[in-house]
Amino acid sequence: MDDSELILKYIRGEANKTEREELALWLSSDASNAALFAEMKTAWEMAGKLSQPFNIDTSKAWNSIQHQILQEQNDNKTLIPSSNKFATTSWLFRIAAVLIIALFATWFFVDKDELLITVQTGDAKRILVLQDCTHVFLNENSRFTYPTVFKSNQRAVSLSGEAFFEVTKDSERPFIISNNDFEVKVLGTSFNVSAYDHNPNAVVTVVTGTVTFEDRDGHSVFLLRNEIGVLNKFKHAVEKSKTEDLNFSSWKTRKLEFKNTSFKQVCETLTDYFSVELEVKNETILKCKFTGYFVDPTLEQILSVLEKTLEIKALVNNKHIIITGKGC
Amino acid sequence: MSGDSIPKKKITEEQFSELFKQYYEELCRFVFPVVKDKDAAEDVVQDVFVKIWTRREELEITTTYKAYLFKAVVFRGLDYLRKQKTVGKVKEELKIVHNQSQQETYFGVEEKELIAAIDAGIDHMPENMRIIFQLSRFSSLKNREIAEQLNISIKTVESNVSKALKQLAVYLRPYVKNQNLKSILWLTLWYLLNR
Repeated sequence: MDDSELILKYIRGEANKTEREELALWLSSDASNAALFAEMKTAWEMAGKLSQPFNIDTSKAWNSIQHQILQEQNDNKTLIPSSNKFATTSWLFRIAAVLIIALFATWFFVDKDELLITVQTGDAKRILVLQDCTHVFLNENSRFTYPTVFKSNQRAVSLSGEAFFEVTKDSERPFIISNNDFEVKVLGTSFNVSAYDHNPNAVVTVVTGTVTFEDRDGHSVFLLRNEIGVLNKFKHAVEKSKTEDLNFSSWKTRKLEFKNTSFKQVCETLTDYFSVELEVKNETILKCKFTGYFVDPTLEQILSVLEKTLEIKALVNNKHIIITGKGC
Repeated sequence: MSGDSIPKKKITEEQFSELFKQYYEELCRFVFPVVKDKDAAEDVVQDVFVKIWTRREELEITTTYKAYLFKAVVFRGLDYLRKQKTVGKVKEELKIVHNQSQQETYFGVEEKELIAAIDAGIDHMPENMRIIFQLSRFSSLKNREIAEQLNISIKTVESNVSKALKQLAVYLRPYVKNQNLKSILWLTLWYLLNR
């Protein structure tokens, strides 16, 4: 067994004499070993203190669940009626129940027909190729779950975060991306899905092909090329729009494109792409139009072009940029 | 009926109430580190029990009720946490209840600072590892029971727990680094060899 497993055994009081001697030998061979041991032992003890003693009234709780059970039996639609802390739409309750059952069944369950893989990105992006050759470009801080082998009647995956999809055409098997709030269905196409847990809006942007974007109440929109569907999770409304933001997938392509784009939109794009803050001193500049095309640009390059084209001045202070001038 | 025996038929009302009385408190304490809120902990445990009763016809438990309960509660707890994050309500820090022993210092630092560091470390664990660690550290389930509940091997459980602890150890590195390791080392060796 490796060092950390040996340490754990000792910490839990499960190490025999031989193992303890082995551990002592290992500890005395290097100072960093002693450090690791101290850290792990303390970590175990501190973790134990997270579970705090507080007063639990079991009989009061028993009465409470009796009430909950009765309510559930009287009302078939709502599954968790007594707790207002959780969301209140009936669909969410249904999916919570399905998720719990699905979690038990699939999270660790290795079914020989469907092994599910979950990828979670942190500060890096990832590219995945699925069984049907669909390419998935997963952005930072996103979680994507997919089966190693798709079913015969559909290709089902789930996403929390942001990803760009290039879905292989297969008219027999729709490609379905789902999460708590919506479902995106396609046959073969390329599009971007932005659905971060912390963001109240989920946005689907279509590059090629057609996509059905449906929320959990059954409202759906049919999106064509260059169309955008926006779902507000709280209002439960799905809207279609054509936006001037051509750069929704620039995080993947490294290309920035502006076609008679308002300066206001340019600022929003720069904020997203470079993670900077822009302060525009003269509000009339926001309406100025700008046309330009950049491939893997630096912030300085774009600002320099903007300064020359629009009669403005950009003052860069770390991640904060102040725009002054007359504008167009 | 004991929670340690494997059920042969659908649960009866008497068995259900026995289970509740026996494990409710323990389960609440168990899930508290996940949801970090006393009311939420009770809600989560109550939800699991309500579901067990209302779905008793469909529910097939082939292991002990006790092991099933701990697993169900940790999953439900993480589910709750996920929902809280969706509505933008995340409990920022774990409020540590102050008692005698927390005046202790380890490595010259107050215990509550270390506890907070470990809490952050657990939050950042990949979810699968967190589930295994939670079940191992905070429940009285044996590795074998955990492996059975999650349908993985005992080896996987053991390696996940040690990996998790090794990861958590990193969060304490800034504190340990500054101390006199030699004294820790000699003390540990003495203790190890004299047991």
